Amino acid sequence: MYWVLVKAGVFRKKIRSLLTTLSVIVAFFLYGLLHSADPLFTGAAGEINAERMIMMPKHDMMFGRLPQSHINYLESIDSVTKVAWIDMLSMDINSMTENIPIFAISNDYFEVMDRFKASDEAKNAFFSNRTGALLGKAAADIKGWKVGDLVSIPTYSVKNDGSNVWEFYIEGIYTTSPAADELGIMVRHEYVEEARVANKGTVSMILFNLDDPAKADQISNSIDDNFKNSAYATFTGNEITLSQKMLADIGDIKLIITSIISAVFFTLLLVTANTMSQSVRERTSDLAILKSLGYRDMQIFISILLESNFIILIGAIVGLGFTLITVPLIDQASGGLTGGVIVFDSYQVTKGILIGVLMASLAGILPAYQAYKLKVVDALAKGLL
Amino acid sequence: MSEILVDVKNLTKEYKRGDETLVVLDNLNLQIPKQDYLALMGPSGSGKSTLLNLIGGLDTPSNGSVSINGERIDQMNSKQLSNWRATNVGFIFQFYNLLPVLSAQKNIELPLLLTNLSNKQRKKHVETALNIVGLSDRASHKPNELSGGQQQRVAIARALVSDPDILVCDEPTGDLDRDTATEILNLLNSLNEDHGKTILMVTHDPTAADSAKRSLHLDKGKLTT
Repeated sequence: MYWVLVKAGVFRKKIRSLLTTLSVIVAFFLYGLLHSADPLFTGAAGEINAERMIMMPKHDMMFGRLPQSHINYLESIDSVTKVAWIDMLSMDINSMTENIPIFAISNDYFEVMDRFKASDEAKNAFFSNRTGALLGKAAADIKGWKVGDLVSIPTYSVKNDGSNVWEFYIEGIYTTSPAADELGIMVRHEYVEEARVANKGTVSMILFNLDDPAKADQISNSIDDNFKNSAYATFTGNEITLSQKMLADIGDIKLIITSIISAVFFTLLLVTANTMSQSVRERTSDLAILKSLGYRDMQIFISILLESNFIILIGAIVGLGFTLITVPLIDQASGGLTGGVIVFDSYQVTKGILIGVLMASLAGILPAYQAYKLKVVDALAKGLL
Repeated sequence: MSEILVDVKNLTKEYKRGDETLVVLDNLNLQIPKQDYLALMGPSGSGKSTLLNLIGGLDTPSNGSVSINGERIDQMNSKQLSNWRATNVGFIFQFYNLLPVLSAQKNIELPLLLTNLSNKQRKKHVETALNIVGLSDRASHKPNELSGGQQQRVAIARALVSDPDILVCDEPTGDLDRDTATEILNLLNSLNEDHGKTILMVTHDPTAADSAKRSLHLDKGKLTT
């Protein structure tokens, strides 16, 4: 019964219903795309988790420096079980797509940052060669470099011999998740520290493990308090906290995106509610006839709500469906780099559909109530029957 | 005397307009036997349509009673009236008011969707109604593919399909040309004569009133003849 009523309502003005559905499709497609980047805003992309601790320069996380004495300080804390560090060689940020970033890592790096994987053979070869390098899989795919190659990479870091071009032998390939973290080359910190002219005695960030992850907040606070008046003030936290802090330094992107989506949905709600209201007003005679035939007020009320749900849910399903198709295409186009960073899963789809149901109910409730209250005699009095 | 189908006693309908009370029907009494075909005439505002609505269960009286087939419909609530209308009364209005998206067949089926009839049974009822109104070959046509007379026939089939006791018609020929109006009046006659339907028709058209078995005149809320 209800399908006949819904059909009679939705297809009465096909173009209007189509345009309304199209606007819903666009809104949910936008919602899907923006929400698929959620892991970026929560800092929980790929295998990034809350158990790996990181110390970074407080005031310039991207390019600031920490003295190596901070490493000694961390090693002196009882609860700290393992410490590693990493340094990024200065590069022209505009040429990073051509010249992949170089990360100088300490010997314990793979034990602390266990989401980075390399075969034992590759690691052994790497740690046996002062100018050895482990190349990220994504970087290897892009550059076409392979194990055994000698690669030259220009940087802003000048070597003792006056050159700024660094040469490394690729001893193996490393992988990780998110795949975007594979866009780099790892080299030996010992060698870089010895060979460079500037920034000696400093590192970009220090990584460490704790004997009990529950102590993370307490120890982070205590470390940051200790250095708060130092020239090398620190910001310490787990990987997720640090990711969020780095994003926050750019701006509250999640808030901006949530605001955009909310504005889109709110506008859509007004448009749909207006369309439904107009549709009900135009169908006064149809609804009055249905009531004269014996359709109850509540049945008419439900049919209008279902009609609103039909239009919005069809739009939501198609819009979210487009997102499900598009996200893998984006990942494919990026060479797999967005895997784990741009994710659109069943949770997001369910959430989208629930938003659709809520919007449809809100958009439909007033017109449905109008239809519920309609009296056949009023329609007769207006000369509609 | 034939059995009484509609028994209206001391019926009053008033409307409030600010401080003013407008009496549309004033202590009216009317009995309509089964299989009667009664035309209600009168000037605009005389209360014809209001009486029709009260007998059809679309409105409730201010005072008095309306019994149809022994059932006091004036005492029913909105839900009960809806259920009662679904099986006991068929409405035919001036402007047909078919749902434009649905075919003739689907429009006629609308009242049956409220019943427990199976799809097959519903189809059978619709076919019968279409046969009665002579539109079997137009079942799949949408309203905009039908002439005014054909649309009114579909509306009559829709009113008939649940086999109600009484058909209430509000100016059923008011929007039709003379020839088509005659066809519709002939059809209503046939429904009364051949199918035993009780018909109550409001009309301004004396020709239409002549086609009924009897006519009554309303003026200022009272029956005058």
